[in-house]
Amino acid sequence: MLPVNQQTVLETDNVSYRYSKQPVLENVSMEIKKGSFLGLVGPNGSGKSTLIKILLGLIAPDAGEIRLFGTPLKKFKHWEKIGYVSQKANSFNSGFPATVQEVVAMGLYGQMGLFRFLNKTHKRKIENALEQVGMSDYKKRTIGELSGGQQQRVFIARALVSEPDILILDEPTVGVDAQSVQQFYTLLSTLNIEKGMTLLLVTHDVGVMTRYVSHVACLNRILHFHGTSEEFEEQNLSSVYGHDVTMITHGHESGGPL
Amino acid sequence: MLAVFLQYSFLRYALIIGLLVGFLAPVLGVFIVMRRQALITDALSHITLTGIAFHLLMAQSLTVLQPVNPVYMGMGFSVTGSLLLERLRHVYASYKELAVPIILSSGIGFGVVFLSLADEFGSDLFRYLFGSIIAVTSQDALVVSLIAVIVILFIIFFYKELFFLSFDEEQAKINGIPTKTINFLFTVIAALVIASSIRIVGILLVSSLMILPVAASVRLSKSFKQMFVYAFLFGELSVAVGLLTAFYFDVAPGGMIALTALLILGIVIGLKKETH
Repeated sequence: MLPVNQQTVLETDNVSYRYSKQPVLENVSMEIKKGSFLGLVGPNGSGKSTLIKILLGLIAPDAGEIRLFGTPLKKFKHWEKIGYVSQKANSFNSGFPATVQEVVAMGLYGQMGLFRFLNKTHKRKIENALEQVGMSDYKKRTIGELSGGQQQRVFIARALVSEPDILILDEPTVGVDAQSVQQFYTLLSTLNIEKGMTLLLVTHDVGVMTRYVSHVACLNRILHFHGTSEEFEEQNLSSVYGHDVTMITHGHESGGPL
Repeated sequence: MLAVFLQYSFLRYALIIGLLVGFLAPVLGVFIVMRRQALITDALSHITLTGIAFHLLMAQSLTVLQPVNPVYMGMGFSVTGSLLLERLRHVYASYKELAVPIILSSGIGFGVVFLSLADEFGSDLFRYLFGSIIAVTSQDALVVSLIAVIVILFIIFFYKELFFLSFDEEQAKINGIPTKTINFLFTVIAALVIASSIRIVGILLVSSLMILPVAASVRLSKSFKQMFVYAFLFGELSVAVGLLTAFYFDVAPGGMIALTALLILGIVIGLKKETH
């Protein structure tokens, strides 16, 4: 497994959140070290997406604190350090007439600031990002023409183009075919191991994920588990299920009886 | 044909304003349509009517207002209305589309009451509703030109933010785009363009010039930049053909502009049958 640096990229300290008096998150304390690959798993409605929204400053927690690169969220300004691929990224208006190039360029807009235009350096960054996800040949195509898996890659390129320190992906494989899912995990693995990119992957698909991540966090309102993927597998095998987790999730996914 | 048209100064001014709003309206329309807010133009144009009606009522007792073009009051109302609309969209966070009919019906409600009190249900009202090329002054043309400069600069300098916001507002916010400020400025700019277009197209048909060229453009465009090229072409074509035919057939220009835009849209839909 990858050597993990000590610097904490992202940290939540006793975070709680309620929605209409219903507790969604309770005392969630979690951290991600630089260079690690954390899989945040939990069933639907477990508060995963809510936690991500809190991390990104889209909603405020009722209690607890979040620190990004050591800075409290409220004072955090360097959003270009955080790349985000949302669950909704795939459900955008598919008739939107934008080219792949135009979509990836958006990832630079925040850090460019107002009254600035794309220059050669920016264009080179766009090329690089598309190359990293293997979509260079499609830069002139409109985003709506691409397959789900290809669009996925474009949105990852958009998140990568600002050269972030951490990439957060919220249920990115929903609605993407099995082969693309495989390629997708290979891509994440490459980014993590070769480029040293810190990754936070939110998913309900426990099976495939454990083979690629360095750490696992299991969330279902409270944090049930937070540790390395080896610890996770040991604990699962011995105490929780008593047999292979992968089998269970695959059976569940195909819609068959458990 | 054009020579006759240009003989009269008021027609010349009408043509200048027409050609200016002929690209301002559809270019802003691109962002409005992509954000799925096409109905916002109707809400803002109706609130402009309220402003015009208010001016006509006030002008009866305040003589200083009489020589002033009522459209300025309309602009003021439209800008205020646009701000109220943004507020309402936050009040009804999960029913955002409610903001539009609320503003639209209150605009008409107040407008009709003001017009009744002012006893102005005459040809003046018809002009504001459907547009007119009569009695356009050089001052009108100057004001719209100034607005055009402001709008063009706004779009050039905020293009990337507007584009990102149209595509995915949440992601734009995460990436550090000042979404609130941009939304605010955009609504004010839209209100100004709508009020400027009213002189020629009329309150009821502003949306035809803002939306129809974009509806045609979206079927042909292969990139976001192309959207503007087609919207610009279709908008100008609609205004040019609409104004000239309106003059020769002596009908309200708003109607002819809307019909021309509709004809272009019909042709484009006929040419490209695939769904969007």
